Amino acid sequence: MSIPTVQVSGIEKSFLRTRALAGVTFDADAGITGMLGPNGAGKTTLLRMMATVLAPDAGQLRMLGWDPGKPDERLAIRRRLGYMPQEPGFHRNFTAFEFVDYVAILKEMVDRRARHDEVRRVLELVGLEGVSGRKIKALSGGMRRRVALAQALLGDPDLLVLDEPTAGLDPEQRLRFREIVSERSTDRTVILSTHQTEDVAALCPRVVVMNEGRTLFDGTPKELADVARGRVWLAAERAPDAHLSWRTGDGRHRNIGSAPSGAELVEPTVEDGYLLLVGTKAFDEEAA
Amino acid sequence: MVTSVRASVREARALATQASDRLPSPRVVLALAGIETRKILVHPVFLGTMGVCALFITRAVGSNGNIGWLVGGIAVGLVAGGFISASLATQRARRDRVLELFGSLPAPAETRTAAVLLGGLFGPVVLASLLGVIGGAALEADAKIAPYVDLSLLVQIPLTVAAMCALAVALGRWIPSPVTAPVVLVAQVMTGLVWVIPWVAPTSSGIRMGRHVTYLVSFIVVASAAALVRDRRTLLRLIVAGLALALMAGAAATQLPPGGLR
Amino acid sequence: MSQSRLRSIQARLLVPIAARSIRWPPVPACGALGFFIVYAGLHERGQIGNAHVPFAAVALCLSAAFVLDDPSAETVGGTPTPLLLRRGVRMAVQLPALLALWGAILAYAGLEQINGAMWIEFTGMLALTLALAAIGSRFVGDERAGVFAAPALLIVLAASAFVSPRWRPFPLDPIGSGRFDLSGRWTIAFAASLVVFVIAGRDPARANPLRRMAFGLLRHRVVATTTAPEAVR
Repeated sequence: MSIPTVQVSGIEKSFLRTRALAGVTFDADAGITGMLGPNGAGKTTLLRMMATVLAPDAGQLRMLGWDPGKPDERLAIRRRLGYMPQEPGFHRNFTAFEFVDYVAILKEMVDRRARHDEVRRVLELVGLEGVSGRKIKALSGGMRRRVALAQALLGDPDLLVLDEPTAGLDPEQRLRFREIVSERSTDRTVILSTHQTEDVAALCPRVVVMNEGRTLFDGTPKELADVARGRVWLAAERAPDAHLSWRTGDGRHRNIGSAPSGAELVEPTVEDGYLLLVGTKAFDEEAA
Repeated sequence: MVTSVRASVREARALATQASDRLPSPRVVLALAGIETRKILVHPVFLGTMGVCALFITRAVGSNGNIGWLVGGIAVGLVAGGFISASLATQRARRDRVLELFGSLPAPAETRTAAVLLGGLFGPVVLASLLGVIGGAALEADAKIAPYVDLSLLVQIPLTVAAMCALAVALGRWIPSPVTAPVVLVAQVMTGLVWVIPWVAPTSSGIRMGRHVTYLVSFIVVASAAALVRDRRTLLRLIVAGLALALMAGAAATQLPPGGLR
Repeated sequence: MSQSRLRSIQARLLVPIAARSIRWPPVPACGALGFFIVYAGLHERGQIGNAHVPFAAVALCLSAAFVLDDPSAETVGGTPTPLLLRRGVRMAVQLPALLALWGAILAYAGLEQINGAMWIEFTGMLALTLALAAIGSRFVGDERAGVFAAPALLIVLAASAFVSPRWRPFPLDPIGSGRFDLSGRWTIAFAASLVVFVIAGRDPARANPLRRMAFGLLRHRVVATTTAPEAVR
């Protein structure tokens, strides 16, 4: 039996008196694993641990079969890792090329010609070849995120940890992103945190839903959608006992909750399943 | 520093083009001032310097006639702590890159500047007044120190703190760099800049304390106006600043006793 | 290629990048202030006072407080290059400028007799500043280490002045004329700061048994944020 690329077992993390992770457990293997969850669910904390920039307080974490807590193994992980943080920081007076080149040096690419070729390759991959000479401070927010994505792709890493990579990207770039990531996911592991349920539905064979530092769901997007099967219906008005309800473009209400008998049930989406999981919990708390 | 000045100019231009015609609402300023007061008082720098201040004051009480410990404690704790915390509070929006967000709000930019100015007054200055009164009362009981403690000394403590806080806000608005406040503080301690906001011993120096108090008050007005003018230049502010500057210069020139310092 | 050779090549390649990413404006500003303080000391009395040269050192150290500020730290945190190497390169770029400025200030002050002691005091203070910056980057983030370190340096030095002369850890002016008073205290401060710098600069992802143990003991005090149901699957 092969060892999963990412093994997360009972991970806990607290910041002062706030518990960010309360015992997360899951495995991930080759392919794209989508992480969904509301703000403050602990996704970024978990991804930072996977990116070896933060240590857990308790629990076991193994990446590519190695323990990031041990120096030699951490180095081995980092040599095969690409990380795009949620809020990527840059030297703003560097050009896009210079910044990616800087990260390439830090990724131990010391041969100048090969490194520059690689930098050009990843910038082209994210569609920034035309602005590679422009300073980062002069780039738009979406372009900056693409610079961050480009540096994560340097060296074609075996493990990609991407924290909200599609935030701020235009639809065309999002599709381009999906193309880039899906190409790499056949034999590599991609951990992708996002708020975009459509990205998860389109890209990820597997999805993990987190809330309040715990795993709420672990399965395929279809299974997540199935959580809401028989609990999503359309009606002319907002149903009084619906957990969530909103008016759709055609003027009807899409309700999620316990459907009344005779309701016009519709095919649930990943978003419905996610909202039912996370939203139900929010409503339960409110009621308590 | 050069980058900061350049950034300041850019920022000033951007703000000048966006500045609304409305004046800051006093209620909004007061509400924000409450937040700024809290932020200044619980700032780690302020708490750290207050810890040192407490050590100095403890030493003052048991120092057998050395008022220098009290003055030193207040200088380190309130003046330095207030100065650096007020400077950092002024630059917070820039540091956190929320200037653009705040620029889109209906309150004009000087609302925040005014709030930090008041935050300095509500926090460190009120604390300085309290410490001055309590410390003064405690030291009055000491026969060796009592002759040096008088009302003008007690008034000078909060005014000096207020002047430093106002200067910090003005500097923070014009040279928004985190290094500005510590550097100015060191310069103040060790160079002739100390005469910008001097500490005078009223009974031994022969300084006319009334004039010195006038100097400090007008300095506070000048520094506050300088901070607010950075956001928007209005004729009224420039006139007030000009008058206060003239008063400050007059008070500085005439506060020395005939024949110079004793 | 051996690991040490790789790191040395990386260091060489990173030098020009570090030179561009360091905040330079505080250096000339603080250097100018240092000269001005010494000038003021010479001008006032015709002879330099005890406190002027140490305060010039404080001024220079304030600019060193910002050397570790790195806005890209989170982005490059997952790269194989160790944090200490990244920081070392930044320091190697800026510190020679500060040391040159300090040499010039000392020459200007004309303190031949205690020149050596002043060098030790400056390097000790510099190490203290860097240790504070390393601590700052832990607590307030790599982008703002200097915002923490610069005021912290002033507070530490002020607090040290309160300690009785016998035990004062960071004396600005020499307490006595003995070897320990002239340079011993700052030598110890230098060594201790270096240790703190290295400890604070250890990799944030390393396994920390102490933290794990503390977490185990204090776990019950952490606010339980979750009442989440068991995983659906």
